[in-house]
Amino acid sequence: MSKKRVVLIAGVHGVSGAAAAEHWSAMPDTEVYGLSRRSSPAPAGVHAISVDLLKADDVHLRLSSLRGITHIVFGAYIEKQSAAERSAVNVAILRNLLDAVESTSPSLEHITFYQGGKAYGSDLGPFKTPAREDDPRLMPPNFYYDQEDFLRERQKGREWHWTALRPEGVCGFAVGNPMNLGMAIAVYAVISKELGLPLRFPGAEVAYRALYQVTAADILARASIWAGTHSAARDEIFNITNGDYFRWQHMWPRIAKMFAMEVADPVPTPLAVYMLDKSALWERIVHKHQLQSIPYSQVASWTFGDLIFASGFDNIGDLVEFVGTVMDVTEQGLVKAGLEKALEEIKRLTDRLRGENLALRASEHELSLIVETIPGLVWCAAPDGELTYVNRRILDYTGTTLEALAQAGWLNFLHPDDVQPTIRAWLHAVEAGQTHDVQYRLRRFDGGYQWFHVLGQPVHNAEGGVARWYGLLIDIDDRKNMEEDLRRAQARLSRATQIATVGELAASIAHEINQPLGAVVANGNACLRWLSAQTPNLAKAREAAGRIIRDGKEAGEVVQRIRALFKRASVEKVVLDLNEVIGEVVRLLGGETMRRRVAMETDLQKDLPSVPGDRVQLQQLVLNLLLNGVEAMDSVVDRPKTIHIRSKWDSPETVLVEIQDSGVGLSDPDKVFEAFFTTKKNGMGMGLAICRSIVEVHDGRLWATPGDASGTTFCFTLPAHPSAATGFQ
Amino acid sequence: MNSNTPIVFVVDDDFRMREALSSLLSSAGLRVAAFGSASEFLNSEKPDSPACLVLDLELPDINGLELQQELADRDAPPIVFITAYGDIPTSVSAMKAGAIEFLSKPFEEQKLLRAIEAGIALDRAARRKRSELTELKKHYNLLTPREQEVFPFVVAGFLNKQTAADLGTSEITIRVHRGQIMRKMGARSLAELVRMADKLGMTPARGPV
Repeated sequence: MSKKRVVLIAGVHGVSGAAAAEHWSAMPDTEVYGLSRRSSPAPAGVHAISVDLLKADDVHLRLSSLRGITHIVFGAYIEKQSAAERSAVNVAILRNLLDAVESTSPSLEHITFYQGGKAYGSDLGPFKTPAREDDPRLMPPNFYYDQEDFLRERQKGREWHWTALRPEGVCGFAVGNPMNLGMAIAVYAVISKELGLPLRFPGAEVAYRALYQVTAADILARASIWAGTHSAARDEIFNITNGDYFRWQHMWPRIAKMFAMEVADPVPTPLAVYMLDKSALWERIVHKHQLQSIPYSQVASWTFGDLIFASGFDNIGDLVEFVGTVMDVTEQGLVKAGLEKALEEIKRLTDRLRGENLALRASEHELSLIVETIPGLVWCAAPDGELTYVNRRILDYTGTTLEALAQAGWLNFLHPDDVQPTIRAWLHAVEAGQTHDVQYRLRRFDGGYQWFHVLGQPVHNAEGGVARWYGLLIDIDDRKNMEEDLRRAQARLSRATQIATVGELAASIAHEINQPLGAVVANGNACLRWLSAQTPNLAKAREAAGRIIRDGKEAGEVVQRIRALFKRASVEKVVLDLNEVIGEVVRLLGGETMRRRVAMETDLQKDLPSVPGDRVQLQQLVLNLLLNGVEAMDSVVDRPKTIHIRSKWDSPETVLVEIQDSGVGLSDPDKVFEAFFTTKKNGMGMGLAICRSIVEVHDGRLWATPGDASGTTFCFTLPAHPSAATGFQ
Repeated sequence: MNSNTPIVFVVDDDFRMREALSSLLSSAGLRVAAFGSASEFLNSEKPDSPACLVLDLELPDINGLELQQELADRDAPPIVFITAYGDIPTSVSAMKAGAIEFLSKPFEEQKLLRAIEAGIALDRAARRKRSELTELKKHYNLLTPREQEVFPFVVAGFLNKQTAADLGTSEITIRVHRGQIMRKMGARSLAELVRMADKLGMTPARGPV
């Protein structure tokens, strides 16, 4: 039984780490964990762990549950400006990882880590070629040396071993990677082609002619497996490249051929400068060729390209030691003919940029089929609301084309009554970047209208702005019609209830009057009988007649009382401060408004003149108007419920009070003051009629106006006390 | 007025109505007793004479219809309803429950008096029926258990011989029982005895088949 391997790959999204993960996870009895700062999904078969290796605590915390680690492949790297900084940081992350792994996994066998041409000074200038692993070190600091020395020191008394791999010009598929030559070449070529330019080597003439080598990420990954599993690799450094050398002047025409481009003579062109503004162009290319949507900033590392294309000297390492060791263990297939290999790699990259989208394109096709087929009307719009797509059902329904729809403006297809509210809702949604949710009637191809519920969902870009709108129209015509019927039925019912109420009132009045009337008639009959008896009983007759008079008067009083019930008979006018009356009522209503989450705001003019009035009646007037406003906002959920109460000395003779709500509003402001008129389900329709009679008794005026956006303002004026007239300003 | 003089009970919570009706009914030669509520009426001593109840539909404690139901199995006098509301469904249910008349205030004197008259006549008949039955029951209770046993056979028209066979006794004994039954019940003929048995609600015996 083979022992289980547990491999921890640091920097799993890097070009080396990703390839290593892919190859290690294909090994039998091997479990692979991939560490990265980014929380993007790990390659298939790899357990992703998101961790910041710079934070020792974080590393301990995230790795504490991970035991039995046998291999570390250290592909993590943090870029810093100076060599000294690079050393400090990159040794620290290696140490943090090792601290955590050693504390939980005594089983650790091997650590592979990466060095490169910088160990020989490839970033500094011409160096001794071919470079050998045992060439003397350069002047420190160099983080390769420091990592290596750290491991050598740390290794003392431990069971594990290490291997350092030195690739050059790694080519593989990875995004957001600072050192990946292949991607830079591929993207540079594609952009040049899009611009109709030949494929020009962007480096110096000398660099074009220098001897160079690259390392395919696959080969590097396989080397890491070999290093981790063979004793010959223990505690050694190996140059790892594709194994053959080439000059760009020979490679470049073949790359051009591969992209079906002309090749042009080199002109030193710093890519970091000239490729900076190609973001929009790249987006177009992605869209046009349906490539993977990778942000331009992540797709290639121009600085690294510049470095490679500027190195006007031979850059080759000796593979003798590696080949010799490998030969020992018969891994001969590892090293292949190099020029072809490098070319293959670049081709693979472009294929991957495009090819991985074949599946995507298939699923897009599927999706578009769904969108065209579902029984719903689907649209898509630019951030500013301009229609960019509508599905066939919309075109069939409206009997038009996308062009016509976009040109005429979709608002022209709405029912005229729905245009304004829809514009308001749409502007609001665009401004806020929130779901657009509205109902409107859309014109059919035959000129008829149907109700739709429209939902627009914004898709946000990375910066939080709206990238696109996706929308759906749901046919709610049947429901709307049903609602309309229901509303009518309710109106009828409410009318019927009112009539029933009137009926009850009438019955009650009838009872009050019939009672004494019944007595009057019976007494009348009795009186007659006493008089017409054989011996008339005058005393009894007189008694009966007396009762007739008494009960007749009683009936009259009943009628008076009923009249008084509707028309407040006596008004006891005293000199009143209207602000005080309002204040009393506002305090009285405090609990009620709090319960209903209504904010009451008062704006009372300070030197308001007094008015002659009946305190109780005026309180009732204000109370009724406030309650009316509060109730009108019961169904309001999309805006604050607020009541404004204003008092104002608006003319020398009159004081004005305004009570403004943000409720459902009135369709017929004049009708509301009629008795038995109500818009409320439970209302008797008496409140505002009583208000009007109170105001009239006070020689004032009461009216209602619709609010600007919503709600209603009820206003009344009362005559100011005559003594006040002179103080008006 | 003696105890047989008919009496009209007026139940109305409105004192004006009570006064007016008292005056009107006494001017028509009727005895009147007025009450302000149902419970006042129920708790009062009632004279043993034919009566009629003039009942207001709306009363402070229980309403007229409820009182009507309460009185239904109490040999209470017939009811004339009066009301100041007077809606159709109420009057229908009142009439179905046996009311004589349902009058809306203000009502016509003649209608009220005729209804009261009819009510009193009905009550008088009912009272007569009730006193007859009381009398019969008194006689029946004089019979011995054996005589009460023989009674159904006699009224069913059985021969003494058949009855004797059925009850396991002699024909002569049955003949003696029969004589005693006729005498104690005060029946002058078999036909009269049969009517008495009917009024008593007796089921005549059925012979062995």
